[in-house]
Amino acid sequence: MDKLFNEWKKSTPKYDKNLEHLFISLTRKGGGAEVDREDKGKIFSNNYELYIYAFFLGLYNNKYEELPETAELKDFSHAIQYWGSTKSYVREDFTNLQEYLFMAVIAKTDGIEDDLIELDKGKKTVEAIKKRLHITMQNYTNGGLLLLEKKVQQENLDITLGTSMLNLILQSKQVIEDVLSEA
Amino acid sequence: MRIKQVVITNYQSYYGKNVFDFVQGVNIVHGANGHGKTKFFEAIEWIFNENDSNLEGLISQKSIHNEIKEGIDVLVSVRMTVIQGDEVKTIEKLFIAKKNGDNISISKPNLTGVREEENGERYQVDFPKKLRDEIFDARIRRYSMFKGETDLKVFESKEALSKLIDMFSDAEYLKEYIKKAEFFVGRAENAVTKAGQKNAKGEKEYAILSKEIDYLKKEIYDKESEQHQHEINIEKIKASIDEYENIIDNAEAYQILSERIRIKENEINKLKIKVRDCENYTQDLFDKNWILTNYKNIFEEFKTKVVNVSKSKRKLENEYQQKIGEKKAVENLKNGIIPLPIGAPTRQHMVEMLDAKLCKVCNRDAPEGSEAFAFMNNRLKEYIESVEKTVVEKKQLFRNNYINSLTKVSDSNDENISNIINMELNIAENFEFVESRKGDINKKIEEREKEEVERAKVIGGSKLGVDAGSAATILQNFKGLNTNIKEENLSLSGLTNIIKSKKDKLAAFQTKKNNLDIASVSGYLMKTQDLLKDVLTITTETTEKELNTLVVYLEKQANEIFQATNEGGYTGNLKLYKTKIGNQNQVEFRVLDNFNNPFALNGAQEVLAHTSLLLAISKMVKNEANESYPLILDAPLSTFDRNKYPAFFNSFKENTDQCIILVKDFIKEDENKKISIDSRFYQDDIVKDKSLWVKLDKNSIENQIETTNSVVIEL
Repeated sequence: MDKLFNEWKKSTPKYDKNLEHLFISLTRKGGGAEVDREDKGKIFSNNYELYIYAFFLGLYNNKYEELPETAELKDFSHAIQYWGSTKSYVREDFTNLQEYLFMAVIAKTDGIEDDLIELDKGKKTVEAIKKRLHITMQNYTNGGLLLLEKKVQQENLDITLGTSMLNLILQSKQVIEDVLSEA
Repeated sequence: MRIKQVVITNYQSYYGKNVFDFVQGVNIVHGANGHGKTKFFEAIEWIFNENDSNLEGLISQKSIHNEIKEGIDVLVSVRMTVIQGDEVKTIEKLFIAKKNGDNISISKPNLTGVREEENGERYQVDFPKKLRDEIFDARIRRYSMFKGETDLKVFESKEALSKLIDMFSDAEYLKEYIKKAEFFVGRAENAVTKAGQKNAKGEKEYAILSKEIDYLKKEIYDKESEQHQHEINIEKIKASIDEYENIIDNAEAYQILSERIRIKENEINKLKIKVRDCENYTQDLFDKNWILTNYKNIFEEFKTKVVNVSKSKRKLENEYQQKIGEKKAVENLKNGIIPLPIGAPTRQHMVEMLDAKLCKVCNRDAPEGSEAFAFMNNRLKEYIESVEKTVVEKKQLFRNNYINSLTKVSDSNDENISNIINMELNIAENFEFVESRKGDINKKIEEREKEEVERAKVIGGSKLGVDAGSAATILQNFKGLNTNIKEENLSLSGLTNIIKSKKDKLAAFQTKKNNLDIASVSGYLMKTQDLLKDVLTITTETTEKELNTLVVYLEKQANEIFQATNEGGYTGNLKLYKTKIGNQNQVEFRVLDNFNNPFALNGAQEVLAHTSLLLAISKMVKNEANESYPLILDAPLSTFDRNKYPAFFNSFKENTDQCIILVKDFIKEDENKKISIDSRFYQDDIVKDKSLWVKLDKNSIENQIETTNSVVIEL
């Protein structure tokens, strides 16, 4: 069977280079023990953790921010299919999130239905679909990253608090409900 | 001696002239903290002080402010009038303070004494210091005036106690005779030797013998000094060992507490790890999928989208088939409804329904020959055709099956979505769990702190005040002391043997010399020598015996008083041990149980034990010197239960002629901070012959020392 998900997860989404400082300051890439993380104020273990986080944050807060056309895009050379596969004695595997990311981008890509029909007809390529899906993913992530940047820089979010990131997610629920009630 | 009056003028908190009149019996001076109780006590001490320092500090601040600064001279004095025998004696210590520019100049303190004889003749004495010592001998004063409970521990000094007892021993005067007797014995011996030398036939032999004897005597003296030094050392080491044993007893308690603290510490750490595992909130966004907490709506959106697109695809497919003339499909289409995909219901289900002649979907009969039966039959045929005959010639609109894969993703995640709905609850539970464990941690920390306080008490309880870290050092020192004492004992017994053999030798020489003397020295000289030796022996032994009698008497008295004040409770026995180190007597005070083991007293019991001995001394002084001295105690009750007060005061009433007790324990303060004397004090069971109250007057303002004025009120 032709599995769109399997094709999709082989790719690597990108982000705006202007927001790279967030990845540098909030994630601990490279070596070092897991316990070092908090000491260094780096609260995400990997670049893709921040990427996933920013995507969901943007998604839940309805922050769909298109990347500027002139934006220089960056990625961290780590395909989605490997995200969350770092099981260790302190960490759990969370590769299952890949599917949720996928479902979300399908759900949030307007008019993807027609493209899918065309795909099954063979009139559009998987690559073209993936490209559309990535735009959705990158724009929500961009929205999430900008929101996070604002929270840290303007609203003095204390990232050393263990609950800071979780709270932003929990608070987003309110946003979703507001949006729904508006509709 | 009895104190009749104390007058304090411009001294410390006592501004102006303040008169304290005392009577025979129990005099109680009440005073709240900071109201002048202790200043009264110190005023009396000041009269007897030889070395004065910081006189300016003794001047009443109020008088500095009111008089001296205004250029008025101020007299600072403490005067005490006592009745001693048939005389009235007054001793006064005073100085004048006057303004000197911005400073205060102070005259040299002056002591004056007035003696008033029985016949009423009154005159100032030439030697006031002598009068002062006559009134209150320093040796007695040491056992008469006590500031606080710790002062009462004077009994721990063995020499002081023996000196005091010596002072009242009937045989005290004999001590002078011992020295005289020793002197005369020496003279007699010399005389005998000289006479012997002159008359001896074997002059040379006699000279050698005399020399040997002198030499031996000197040697014995040296060895005895050495022995004395060892005895002192042993005494000192024993005292240290006692202290260390006290610490080591505490060490056991310390270790038990330390172990408990260690266990608590472990429990706290385990809880902390548990909490830490639950506090990886950012990590759990991923590991526990918490990030999906708001995902439900997204999933619904996805599901709807997939269902719709799948439906559109089938519709398109059907329309396409229709267009290319698949008539069967057209026939089967009713009202434009999109048919179920081929193979639904399954082949087995279709066969089953045909056999039963019943449509199990709509639960209606489908007898053979009916339209419904024919429909079902056709569907089955269609399916069999589609799987068994490969319809290669059939044209299809859709070549790929990606949409179907999306349906699969949707279906397989349907179940998981219930977990996502519960996610928020899980997070809340996690927070609750963390909070409750944190509560547990705080509780454990509190418990641990309590144990630590206990442990601190144990450390504080040891006299050396060592901290726990040096436990190893303590043990090492303790072992060292035990080794030292063994060595000292070994040296001592060695020396004792040497001394004994030398003394034996000396005795032998002396007998030999005596025999020579008897032969050559005139009888009367020999007899004189022997007589003097006997006098020396008698004097020494009598002194010793008399001292022993006194110690036994004192111990008996002290125990009687102690038992009386402790009615109903077992408190051990007071023991006085007389020991002799070299020529120095020592009297040691201990409290033992019935098995002669040290008895541990609590604070109040210890005060009672000490006051019992104190009262016994006071009684002994009265018996032996035919004179009693007042006891002055400042704040001795702080460790006492209230129900002990009557017995305590009563023991003073019964065993002393006069006492002055300064207490704060009957002062009570109401909600307006107004102080008064507690009615308990006026109850009959508290013995008092006179009571006074020192308190700051109403013009005294807290924290303004220049307003302070203690006044005396007779109750």
